[in-house]
Amino acid sequence: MLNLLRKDFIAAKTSLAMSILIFTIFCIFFMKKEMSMHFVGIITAFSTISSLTLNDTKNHNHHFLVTLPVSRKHIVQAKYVISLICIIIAVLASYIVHSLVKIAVPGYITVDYSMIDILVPIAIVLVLASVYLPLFYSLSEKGAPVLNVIFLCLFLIMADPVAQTIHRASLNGINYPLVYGSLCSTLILFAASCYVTVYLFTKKDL
Amino acid sequence: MNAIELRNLTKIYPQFTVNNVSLDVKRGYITGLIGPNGVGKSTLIKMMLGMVRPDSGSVKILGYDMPKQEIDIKQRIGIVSDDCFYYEDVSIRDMKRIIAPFYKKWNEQKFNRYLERFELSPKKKIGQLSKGMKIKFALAVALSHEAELLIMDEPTSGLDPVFRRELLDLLAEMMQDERNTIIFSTHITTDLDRIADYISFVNRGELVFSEPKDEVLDRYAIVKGDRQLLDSDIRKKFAGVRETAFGFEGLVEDRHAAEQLFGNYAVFEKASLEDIIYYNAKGGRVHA
Amino acid sequence: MNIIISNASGDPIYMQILNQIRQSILSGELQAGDSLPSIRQLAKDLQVSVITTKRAYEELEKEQLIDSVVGKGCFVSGANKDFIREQRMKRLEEKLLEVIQDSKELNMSQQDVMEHLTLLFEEDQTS
Repeated sequence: MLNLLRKDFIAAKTSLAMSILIFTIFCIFFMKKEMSMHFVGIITAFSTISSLTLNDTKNHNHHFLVTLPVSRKHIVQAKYVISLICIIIAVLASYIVHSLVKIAVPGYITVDYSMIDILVPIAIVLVLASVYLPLFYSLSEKGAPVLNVIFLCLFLIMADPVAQTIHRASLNGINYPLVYGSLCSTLILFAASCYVTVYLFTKKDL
Repeated sequence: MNAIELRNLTKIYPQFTVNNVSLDVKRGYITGLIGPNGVGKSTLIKMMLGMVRPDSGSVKILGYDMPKQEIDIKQRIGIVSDDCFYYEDVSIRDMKRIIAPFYKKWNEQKFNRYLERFELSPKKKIGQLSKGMKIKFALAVALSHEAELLIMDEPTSGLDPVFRRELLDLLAEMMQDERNTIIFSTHITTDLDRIADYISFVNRGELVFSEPKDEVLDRYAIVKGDRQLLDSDIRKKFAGVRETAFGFEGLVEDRHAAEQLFGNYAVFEKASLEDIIYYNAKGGRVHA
Repeated sequence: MNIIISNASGDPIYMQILNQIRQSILSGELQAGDSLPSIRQLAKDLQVSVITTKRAYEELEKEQLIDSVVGKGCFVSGANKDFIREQRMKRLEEKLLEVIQDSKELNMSQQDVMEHLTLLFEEDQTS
């Protein structure tokens, strides 16, 4: 398992640079917007996941992975673990950068951040990844890039309305049990999605 | 002891079917899986590697069950394939850093020696390698984790004649240890056939034969003669016949029977593996 | 010892190997007790299949020209000097029969052949 994670880090050197670039650009452009912190976190997390998976398909890399002494189950599980890591790092990075800017340039950012503002983006990307990964692993090499484009478009359309909803909800007072409850259920969804993907991928012909 | 045991493998695709193939690959020998393009050789190899799951039948590699014990199997096999599947924009050194930790028996020294021998620079990106170089890299990886079984899918199609010969030496070196086994698939009969001990011939999704190469070459013969010798009964004795205005040329499966049949009226020649593939693939009658 | 494999030859490869090793033993180039390359080493050097070299060695063993010792390899058999001589005589006879056949085709009488042979013997001694 560790070896598989290592593999992603080595193979993804270039795409990691891409993620940082996305992060910086979106930070600069959206910083002043109210929902910038969520938005940047989510988009960075998701684009990193999709570029990691794309990396695997680009050169029929699943063919390579299945030649290694690992089971397909491990290949899928490792991808879920690394996705989870990416999500947490991206969202935290966004939080830290926004908080730093807030401290460094008083008045530039007017929103106050709380624990909720970290948990909600995490939950959102978890849901997205839970849908994205099974599709990705059951589609062929040609299907994967198309899937990525669809998801990114969906993303850009959905981002603002979702952000607004969250914002309004948090203005009305935060229902903590509800937030933790939904976070828990997204985690369960994520695990279930992993299970499904393992099932689909072990059956698949490469 | 068999290195590979395939039992009643069936896989149905929309275009073609691998039909009930059972095949034993003997341990300690080199087996060549030959046949025209698109008859199921690659599918068979992919089923051995667990890349394609058969609809029915079982696969056993080195005594382990595929896919149940696929990790044990893959620790012990090396794979060299025509289509390279390594990460294109990663250097050879990084690729090695990815691969090596997966293997219990990785031999770093051996790997470096092979890189030197193959003149592969560790700094080069995989994407910049020529097809032949990619195959060399795959071979270096396969030989550096002490694989007992080397599975090669169309390994020579991207190789120049110089390295093809070198490859023969490399494979023979591996075969000095009689526990080791090699299987390769090919649609062109190449120098590789020279060192093959067994030949398994696949045609139209079925296994035609799997026998020691020398026996195959002794058994089959090319018969040449006057077209008037042929009638519909005699034609049936051929695996395939090519008829021209100047006579016929055909492949028979049983040289002795044919010699008795034609006596001095026809000329007999040794059949090459290429002849065997050609006439079997064409089947029936072939017109020039 | 040299072994040369010809693809143009009508003989199967195992036979070519067999004949040449036998030749080396009968001619005395290989002495009793000399070790032969292993089956796998020979296959590698000649770039032929292991089964082919194995078959050649098996035939040599059947002719009692070599012994194979498990774990040590193959050696030229020592016990059989008379047998080897007999074998060589047999080969010589075969060649002589060939000569007789050829001489008939050339319409040479037995006398002619003998004379020719004597002449050649003399030439060989003087040279």
